[in-house]
Amino acid sequence: MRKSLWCWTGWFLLLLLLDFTLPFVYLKHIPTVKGSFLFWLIWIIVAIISMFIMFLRWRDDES
Amino acid sequence: MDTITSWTALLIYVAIGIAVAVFARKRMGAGMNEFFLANRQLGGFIAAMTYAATTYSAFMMVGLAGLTYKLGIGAFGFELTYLCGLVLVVFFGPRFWLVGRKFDYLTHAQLLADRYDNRAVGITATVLCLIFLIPYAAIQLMGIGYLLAGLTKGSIPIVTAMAVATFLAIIWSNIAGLRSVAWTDALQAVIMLATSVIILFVVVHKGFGGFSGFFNRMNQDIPQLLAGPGLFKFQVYLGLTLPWLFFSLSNPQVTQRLFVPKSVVAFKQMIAGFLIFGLIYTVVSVLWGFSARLLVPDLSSPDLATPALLGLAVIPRVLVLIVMVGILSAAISTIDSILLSLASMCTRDLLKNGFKADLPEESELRIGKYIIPVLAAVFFIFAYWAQGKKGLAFMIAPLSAAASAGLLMAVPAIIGAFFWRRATAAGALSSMIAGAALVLLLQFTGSNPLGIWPGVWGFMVCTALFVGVSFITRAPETKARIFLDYLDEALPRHRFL
Repeated sequence: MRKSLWCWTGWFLLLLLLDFTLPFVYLKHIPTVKGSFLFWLIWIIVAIISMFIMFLRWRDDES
Repeated sequence: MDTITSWTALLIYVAIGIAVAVFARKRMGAGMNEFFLANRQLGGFIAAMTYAATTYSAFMMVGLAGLTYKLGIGAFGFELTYLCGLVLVVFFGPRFWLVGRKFDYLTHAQLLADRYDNRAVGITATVLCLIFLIPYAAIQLMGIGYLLAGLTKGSIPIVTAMAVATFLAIIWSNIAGLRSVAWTDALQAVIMLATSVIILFVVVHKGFGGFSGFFNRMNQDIPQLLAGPGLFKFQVYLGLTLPWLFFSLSNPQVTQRLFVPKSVVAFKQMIAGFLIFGLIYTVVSVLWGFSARLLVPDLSSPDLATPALLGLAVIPRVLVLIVMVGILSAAISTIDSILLSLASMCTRDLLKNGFKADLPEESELRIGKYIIPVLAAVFFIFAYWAQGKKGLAFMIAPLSAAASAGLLMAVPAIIGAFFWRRATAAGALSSMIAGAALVLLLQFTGSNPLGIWPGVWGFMVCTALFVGVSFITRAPETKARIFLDYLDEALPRHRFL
């Protein structure tokens, strides 16, 4: 359980790093909707899917 | 749009809202948990909609649209960073939910006071929320004021619109507490989302001939707003985004909703519903801001982008009315949730746990209900002072971020409560007080030392103090053991992380 927690923490920290760096460094030369707009749209969909994977396994306490 | 039509639409909206609130009252029992938490028995759909309506406010279709209008695509990243930050609900939400049920917590301040075994921690957390949520609630009133005044070309004055919104928030929160708020939120969330999607499609079709034409116009006319982060400088982006990232943990009106789902299934539905709602609403609000930039450029104030766009002749008047109601819904649903949360904190954390432990629950509840209109009046006074002031600091989006910057100072203590046995009350107190004082000082003096915004400075200082002071002071070992051992045992039973 702890290992899983650290893995997910690392994954989301990576996503945040991309959020703060990619648009400022690599996407500033793409002045169209195919640049940062498309990046952030794909980025959040990946983040949302990740969260779904995390919480869909939850269960009510059957005991 | 004429005054009579506007008022008619408002009255219909009010009547439907009151009917829903009264319907919700039929299920209401007695006591503080019932009034402020719906007895922790909200179903998944209602929980999702009240979470969405509480979170997303006038900020979106007025403030975020205005920020997009002025600074471009970085506004999209800024708001989506908040949505990504909802992973904090996936990590912490189950913890809040479990300990809320086990130890009967009403507020996050009560949780902190109990976990750190120190009443002053709860009192400090509550005062922090009062100081920084007042501007945030006032912003909602300002958004309503700008919108209605803009749409009616001043025939409904800003102050009148703000007064009506304040009155409605008081009524809906008082009728049946969280039950009436949650049910009216559900209605308002549906209105918010549906109206915003419909109006965007209408504007894109009538203004640009479709999405292809819309995106082509964006690429041709405003490339500077699309490249990289648009016109956002990194320090501005960081300064706005950092408090937003922790919004789901730092704002009591949303953390309180972590106590209310009736089951794990309802909790999952709440998160799933909110994520989907949030994605759609964010995309719509930002595209709305861009369409305003293309169709009504050169506005004196970016927060007028939405009323200006709605004032265009191409948009059917009936749709304008519906959108007006949608934005009003967004703002009032946030205000009444803030009212309820702050009222519960004032009575439970300041009055009862702070100074009068033997206060009967009946008296506690009565006082809580009396505090609601008092708080609402304070929101109104702040909004009255702030409205009409110019500059980035008084735009809706930066002012919202400034409020959240102050609330951010409780986050290290919250995280420490759940993950660090060594965390101490002194660490929590020093971090919240020093962090908040620094944020206030920097905000009032308009200082951004080294170009770094107040919230970032405050967060660095409060985190360092929390860790440092905890290391040199005594931890509440017994309480920490009870609290954390319970979570260690309960989390795996539900397959929580």
